Parts: sequence; structure tokens; C-alpha cells
Amino acid sequence: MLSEEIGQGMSDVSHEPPVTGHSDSRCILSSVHPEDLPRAVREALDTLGARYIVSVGTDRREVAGFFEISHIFGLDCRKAFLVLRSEIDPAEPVIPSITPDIPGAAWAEREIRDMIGVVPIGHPDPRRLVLPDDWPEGVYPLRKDFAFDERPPSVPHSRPPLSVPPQGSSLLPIGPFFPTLEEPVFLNLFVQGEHIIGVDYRGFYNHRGVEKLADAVLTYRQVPFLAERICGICGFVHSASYCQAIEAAAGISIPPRARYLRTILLELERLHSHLLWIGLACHFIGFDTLFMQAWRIREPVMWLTEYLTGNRKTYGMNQIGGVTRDIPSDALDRIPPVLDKIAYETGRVVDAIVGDSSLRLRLQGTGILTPDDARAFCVIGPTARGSGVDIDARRDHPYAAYGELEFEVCVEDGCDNWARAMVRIRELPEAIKIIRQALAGLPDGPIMAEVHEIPSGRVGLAVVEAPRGEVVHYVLTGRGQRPERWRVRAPSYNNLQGVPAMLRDMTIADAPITVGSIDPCFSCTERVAVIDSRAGTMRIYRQSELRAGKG
Amino acid sequence: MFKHFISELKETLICLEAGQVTLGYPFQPHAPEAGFRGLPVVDPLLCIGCGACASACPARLIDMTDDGDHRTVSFELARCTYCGSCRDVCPAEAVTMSMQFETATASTQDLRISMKLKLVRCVLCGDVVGTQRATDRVVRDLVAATGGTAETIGWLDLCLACKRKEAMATPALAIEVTR
Repeated sequence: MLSEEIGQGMSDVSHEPPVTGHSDSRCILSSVHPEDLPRAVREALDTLGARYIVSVGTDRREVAGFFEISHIFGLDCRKAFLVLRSEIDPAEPVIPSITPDIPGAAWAEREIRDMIGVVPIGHPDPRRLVLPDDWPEGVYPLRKDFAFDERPPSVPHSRPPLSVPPQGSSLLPIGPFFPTLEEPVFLNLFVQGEHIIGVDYRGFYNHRGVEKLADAVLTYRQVPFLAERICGICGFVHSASYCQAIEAAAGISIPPRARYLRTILLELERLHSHLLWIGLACHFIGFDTLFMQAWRIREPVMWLTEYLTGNRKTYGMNQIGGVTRDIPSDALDRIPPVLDKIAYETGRVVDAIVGDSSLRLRLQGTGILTPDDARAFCVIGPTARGSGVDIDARRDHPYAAYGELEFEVCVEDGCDNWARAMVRIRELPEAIKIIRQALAGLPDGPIMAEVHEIPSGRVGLAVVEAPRGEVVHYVLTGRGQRPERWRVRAPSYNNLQGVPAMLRDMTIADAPITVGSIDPCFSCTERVAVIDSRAGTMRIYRQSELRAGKG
Repeated sequence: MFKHFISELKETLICLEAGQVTLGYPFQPHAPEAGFRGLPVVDPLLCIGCGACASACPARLIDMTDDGDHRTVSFELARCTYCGSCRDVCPAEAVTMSMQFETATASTQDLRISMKLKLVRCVLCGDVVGTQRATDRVVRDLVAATGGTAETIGWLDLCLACKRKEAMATPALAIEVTR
């Protein structure tokens, strides 16, 4: 038994024998005393070869009388997850920080401090991360006694301080509106001449309170539609991951046809997302011809998904237990010609650009992320695979129909922007290959399993390999019609933490493409907090006022 | 250098071959694919006011308010996300997803649908039983299933709580609980 094997590895530090996640035998829950946590984490890393995924804080005071902090690890070679759960006394809400051992845990621990109010002791950078600049201290929006529509008074000048620039450097602010990505993010570059020697990041301007809505307002079956809107590009990965997490928690096994349909749509999404990125990456370095051509090649995928699902982007098909609609009956005739055309056209573009020396000069040797840094910051997806870290949730934690299909995990060891670009370019034909196999093997039968009541107090954990990397949804089922806790970890959450390492020693001109090389999605990353920082002063201008030139 | 030149030549050819791809929209109309989920359209003649859509809607934009002898069903479609949940759950097939995607308007009033449906109230306590249409539908289905008539089915003008009380007070229906 996997849980017993893991239990032996963790016997020193776990005060209770580890248990599997109720219905899901691949998710191993292990209770750890807070004071033993750093030791348990080192044990997991060294003995079990665990890879840190994310940490979740839950206010369980009403249900169980404590705050629960769960550190989630992937045991990739065993196709399993390890969850180290600690109970925190509300009278003394502190926990030893694991960031000194795992640099990639920095944001998750800061987020727990902001949202739940459990302070990580020994954290190297305990500044505010998620909450708005005018949020009062001591108000924790993810605590259960904080209403979802509550608006605390604005406190001016509570903005977290800028980290101290190194001696002899000047400050170059980019943002708070990133000029090429058209997304809200604030990067303070510390520069000497045109060389970047350090970076300070301030983000989370795009707060939407998604997680709070799910545990306060929505029902289990409404959340998939909200989840799909977390990301403006790859929404289906979020609804699929959420549904998988609930299915894992409740022990629902979905019909084979639904698994295949999810796979087809997930790979179509990867196709259009990677083509979108190729266009954007070229735009970042001023190569707008290819920007136009990549998006032209992408457009037929959007038309295809509109035909398959009723919409270009928000497919609205995932539901707990399967998919709500089948694809049209002539889909098997209509999909292959589109795939053929995309395969042919991307092949031609790739053939053209690999010899383009100006493109190579911009991408090769810039944005270096060493394999050690990639592991330390726990980056995922093409960002990790471009640095030779061979991880892919489709193979390591098979879901949907991936376990039955053949595909190659594309890994490059160049560690630079070019390597990350090549990973994505190589993944395009792989995605087409997966869709072709799934279409050929598409089983008949029902598309929705029978779903009964979802039992409470269960942990569901699901990963989906999004175009940008592994998306993680953690669910703790609640007693009513909604989850007690739903935590979304988008891939950019980890990948952005690796960006400072990539920017170091680069020139300013390489900064946009280097940030762009992780295919960042700020909106996905910033799903948590509750209120717009300007809520206190926000007003809506009437049309007549705008006409009169007021404001 | 020569390789770079070849590369640029290939890029030029890709552009030339593609030619102009921009669509004529909005100067020419654009028809979405069949099965497109556009603005929901509610048929007021078919809606039975059961509230299934209101509890399914993830954006919570469907409201049911009972006042006197009427139930008002309203859709605030300015907040609609076009997910199609209301259509999927509607037992009366009153909701269809139209092909309409051009919903820009100066007033959100244009995106509000409101219907008034007649209510049936409990003859004993006055609580809401349901809309007249929903009750009629129940009668129709029960008549079809049992072969009886509306009169023999009975209790159609009682609310759920009063139905329970009546059932307990009817000796023929009371179930004896024994071990």
C-alpha cells in the first residue's frame, strides 16, 4: 500500500499514521505537529523526492476549532500527492516557515498570512502580498467570520515597502500596468547601467474574490462556470481541474466518453494558447509579422471550439460527473481537416523562424533559469521543461484520457527564452497527435455519471497540465451545498516567482520577453482577495458626465 | 547571413500566401456556428415559473418574487455569462440560447426580461403552492400517468406542509410504523 510506504518514510514526524484521502487513494494525508513541520518537509523532500506544489490555509474554527495549514507535495514518480496537515491554535496563530527550505513556498505562505492570519515564523520576506495597498492590518478576508461582501474601511499608506535596492543601483519601475502584456503588474527593476541586478514584484491588483464566493455563496454545481472564468485564455483547465477535485473527493468515476471529450477540449485549448503565446512573444520583441501570422493560424481553432461547444473560449461543458453536452454528430469529420491545416501551417512557420538569426539573437542566452533555480522556485510547465526539468501532469498524474494515449513530454535543456519557446513549439504537433488519438478512440456511451450528495469533510486534489503548466485545485468539501475551502493554484503563481532569477544579469531590453517567456497570466494568479483597492473611492461615471468632459 | 535571408524569404511567402484574412465584420454581418450560445431568450408563454433556472444560474441573475396573486420572474441579462445552465435545466423548454451576440446597449434595461405568472395559493393556510402553469402541468402529467382526473387526484390546491398534515390525518394514507 502506498500510504503505508509513505507512512514509514514519515513515521518520525507524523503524529498519526498517514491516511489516504478518503475516496482518493492517490492523495495521502499526513498530520504533522506545527513544530515538526520543517523536519517533515525536509523528510518529504529528501526521502520521498517530493516536489512542493502549494500551501492552503483554511479557517476551520467553527467546524473543528483550529486553523488548518496544508502543505501539498507531488510524489511524481509514484503518481501520488502528499498533504502535510497542521492544526494551528487560534490563540497563537503562528507556524514555522518552510520557505527557507523551499524558496517556491514564499508566496503561498505570505498569502496565508494575508488571508487567514497565520504568520509564518522565519519567512525571509514577510511583506504583504495579496491584499490591497489600503487594506487594514488584522482583517483576514478568508476567515469564515468575514462576510463575502464586507468592505473594511480604507487605510491609506499601508502599502508594503519596496525592498531595499542594492548599493549603487538605480530604480526602473515597469508598471503597474505592464506595457506589452496589457495586464496589471508592477516590476521594480534595480539596474546598474542597462543591466538588471535585482527585481521587486508587486502584483495582485486584479483581485476578484473567487475562492471566497465558492465557500460563501455558490453551490458545487455553479462553481465550474466561475472556475472557467478564472483565466481569459485557458479556462477549461480550471473547470476540468475543479470537477476532478470534487470527483476525487466524492469518489465519482466519470464515463469514458466524458474523459475523452475533456481531453480533446483540453488539447484544443493548448493549441490555441501556444499559438497565441508564439504571437505575443514575437510582439514583445517587435516581430509583429509573425504575431499576425500566428494569430491567423490560431483563429480556426477558435471557430472549431465555437462549433464544438457553442463558444470560442468559455466552453461551459464541464460539470461534476462528466460533461453536460456532447459534441455535434459530424464533429469527427470536421475536426481532422482543421488539425491538418494547423499542423501544415505551424510546420511552415517553425521552418521559417528556426533560421531567423535576429530571432535567435533575441531569445538565445536571455532569461536564463538554471535547473537548480527551476526546482527551487518549483516552476512548472514549459518554464520547467525549458530548463530540463522533466515534469508534466499529463504523464505524472494521469487524468481524463491521458493514461490511455501516447504522447511525448517535450523537454529542452537550453534554460533560456529560446528553450521555452521550443518546448511550446514542439508541443503543438504533440497536442494534434493527442487529439487525433482521442478522436480515433472516442468511446460511445453516456457523458455524465450519476452524482449523489457530496460527502463533507473530504479532501479532493486535482492537477491539470494547462498550457502554462500544472493547474492545481484543492477542495475540502463542506457540510452544505458548497465547499468549505477551494484553493486554486494557477501555474503563473509559481512561474512568476522564478522570474527574478531569470532577469538577473539581463539587460533591460530583454525584460519584456523574459517575463513573457513564462506565458504569465496575472489574472489567474490573482484570484483571491475580496475588494478592489479603490473600492472606497470608486464611482461610476454617467454617460452625460463623460460627455460633459467631467472626471 | 544566407540562412537568415532564406528565413525572411519564407516568412514573406507565408504572408503573401495567406493574403488578406480580415473579415468584413461589422460592415458585413457575421453568423455564428450552429449551436452557438448567445443571449438567452425566454418564451413567456412556455415559462411555468418553477425556479429551476434561478437555482442553477451561476451568475445569480434570475430572480423569483411572489407578491399577492402573482410571481414575477426576472432575468438581468446584463450579467449573463451565456453558460446555458438555465436552458439545460428548464423543464418547459422555455429558454433557448439565441444567435444574438451584439448586446451592447446604452441602458441595461434593454437586457431585462420580466414576466408575471399567476400563483396558486394554499386554500388552507394561504402559502404559495406554485404557479398556475406549474400546477396545470402537474395535473396533466398525473392524469397521463394515473388515468384519473384532476378531481380524483385532489389536494392540488394545498401547499406542501398542508399536504403532509392532510396525509397524516387521513387514516387510509397514514403508514403504520412498526418494527
